[in-house]
Amino acid sequence: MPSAASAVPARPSAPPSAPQSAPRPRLAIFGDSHYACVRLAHGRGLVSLDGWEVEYWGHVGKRFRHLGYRDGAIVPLDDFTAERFAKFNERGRRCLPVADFDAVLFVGCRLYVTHLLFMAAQARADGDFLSTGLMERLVRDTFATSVTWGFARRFAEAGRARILFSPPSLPTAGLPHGWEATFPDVAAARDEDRARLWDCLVRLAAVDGVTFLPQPDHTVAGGAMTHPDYGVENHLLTGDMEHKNPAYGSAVLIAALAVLAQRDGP
Amino acid sequence: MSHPYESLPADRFWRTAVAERSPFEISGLWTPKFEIGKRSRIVTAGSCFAQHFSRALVVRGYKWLDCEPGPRALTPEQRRDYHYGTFSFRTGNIYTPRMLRQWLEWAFGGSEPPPEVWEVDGRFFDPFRPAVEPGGFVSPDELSASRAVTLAAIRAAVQKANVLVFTLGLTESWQSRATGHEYAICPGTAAGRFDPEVHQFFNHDHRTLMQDMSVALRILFRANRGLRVLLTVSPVPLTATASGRHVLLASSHSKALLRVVAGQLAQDHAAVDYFPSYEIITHPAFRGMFFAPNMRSVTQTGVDFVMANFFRDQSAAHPQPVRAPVAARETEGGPATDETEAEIRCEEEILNAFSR
Repeated sequence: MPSAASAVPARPSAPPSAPQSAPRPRLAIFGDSHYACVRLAHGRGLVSLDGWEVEYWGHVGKRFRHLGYRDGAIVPLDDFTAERFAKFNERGRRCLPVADFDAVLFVGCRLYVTHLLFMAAQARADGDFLSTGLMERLVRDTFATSVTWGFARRFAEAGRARILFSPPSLPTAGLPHGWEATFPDVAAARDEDRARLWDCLVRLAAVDGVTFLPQPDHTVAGGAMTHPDYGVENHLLTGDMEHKNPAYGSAVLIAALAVLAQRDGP
Repeated sequence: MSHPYESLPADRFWRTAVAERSPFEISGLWTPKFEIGKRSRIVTAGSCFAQHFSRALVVRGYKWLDCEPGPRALTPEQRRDYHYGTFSFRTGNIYTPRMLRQWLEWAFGGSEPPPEVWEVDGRFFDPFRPAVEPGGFVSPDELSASRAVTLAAIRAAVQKANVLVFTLGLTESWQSRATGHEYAICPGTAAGRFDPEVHQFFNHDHRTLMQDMSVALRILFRANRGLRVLLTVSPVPLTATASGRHVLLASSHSKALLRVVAGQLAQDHAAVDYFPSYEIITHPAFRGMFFAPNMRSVTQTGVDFVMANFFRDQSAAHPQPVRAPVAARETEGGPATDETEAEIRCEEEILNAFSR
């Protein structure tokens, strides 16, 4: 049976920049629009990834619907999608085989966890009780219904590469987040709510062999939002509460590198 | 008038009220003491069969109070699995009058729940509602915090309600030898570990049932002087008996006692009524047609027939503008409306797993 990688051949790519004698570990950063801040942080030198041979593979979120998994690789389900992803990859990759990497960092990738924190905050405001067991169920259901989480889990199952997952950040404070009707009291969130959710996500992600990267604490404001300092440029004007700036991207990269340094690091 | 029977209406005579009628034409079984209308705030508790009431009420646009709806935005499956929206508060099934009394005493300050918890593989289960948290709590403290929310919900439900519908289910129970507290289900079945030195079987008799219900009613009416209580008896036979008798006889014994207690309380208290769902399902006049082939589960047709009687008799006694049933919908804070019997949460069912 042909591998996914051979089924969707890569375009001719540039030779690796590292010397042949000392190959650097290979890091794939896979993401949707949320990974732009990471790429910018890297490009602007806010964080050094010199110890790694880095490749980006991603696209805006809509195309994620056209991705599948085959033979150890995330594969586009059609040529158009393959072209789109290849366009933004340094090597023109039309698919992402985990075997080509020592670590894969998923960024954004449509794994939405904000509402879980909002639920915890609202439950506190309502006088409800959100047990650890129920929170675990919410997390498990969130993982189970996320296609990209499935990719991460299967990459981890493949056993060779370290898999990290940084989900979309919390909404930027000061802008409507779209959940106001359901969760009018997210301001009730406390640091302990967030810590409890992160702990649950980290624990259950580990069961799947994936290292979950909680949003760095210093980027959070008001318990359940991202501090405006990390909002994308002109976010107040554009109303973009989702995307973040390179400073946030560097925080994600620093967190990822810290984890990678613990094992398999350069 | 030469004797009292001469002027009685047709429904007082077996021939005209039952024998000459199709079972579906038997009517007027209930003359409601008080109105339960669209504006009545209704809370439900009790054994599995009580869940049918909340569902039927919600579907028809009645005000069923869910005082412990759980965190917002749970999916219907998550709500169901964690017993939110099953009853008006998250106690799970309350099978016996003693359990009702216990919950009310804990909620209204008569006594404190004992510190007993059941530990299974590092998780902790509430002996008085072991099924509400499928994987257990992470600590006894978390268990207590969750129970405190339920006790607050019981207080709110009783204080806000116009009507409490309580379905009596069982007389057989398991208790702590040390404290006399009654468990929701036999230790060692759904959770916990059975220890004959610690746990004892207790089959309530008429005296203890009346005693417990009387105390429960006193607490209820003290908390809410305007409250009305509608009692029903679950028509669902016992899953299993520890009485030493055949399960059919044990069922008969239990249900007869509960039926007598419900009837007597309705006679004794102006604010207590009895709705005969038990008779509608189990009486030979209805030929057992509302039971599933296992002769235990009540079919949806049976449930619908019971509830149709409920609304018709209410309407006859207290006419209201007629409104067609609204489509079942899953509302936040409303009960699960999947009307299959399998969806009814019945912890007692766990005993089936032990049958040989």
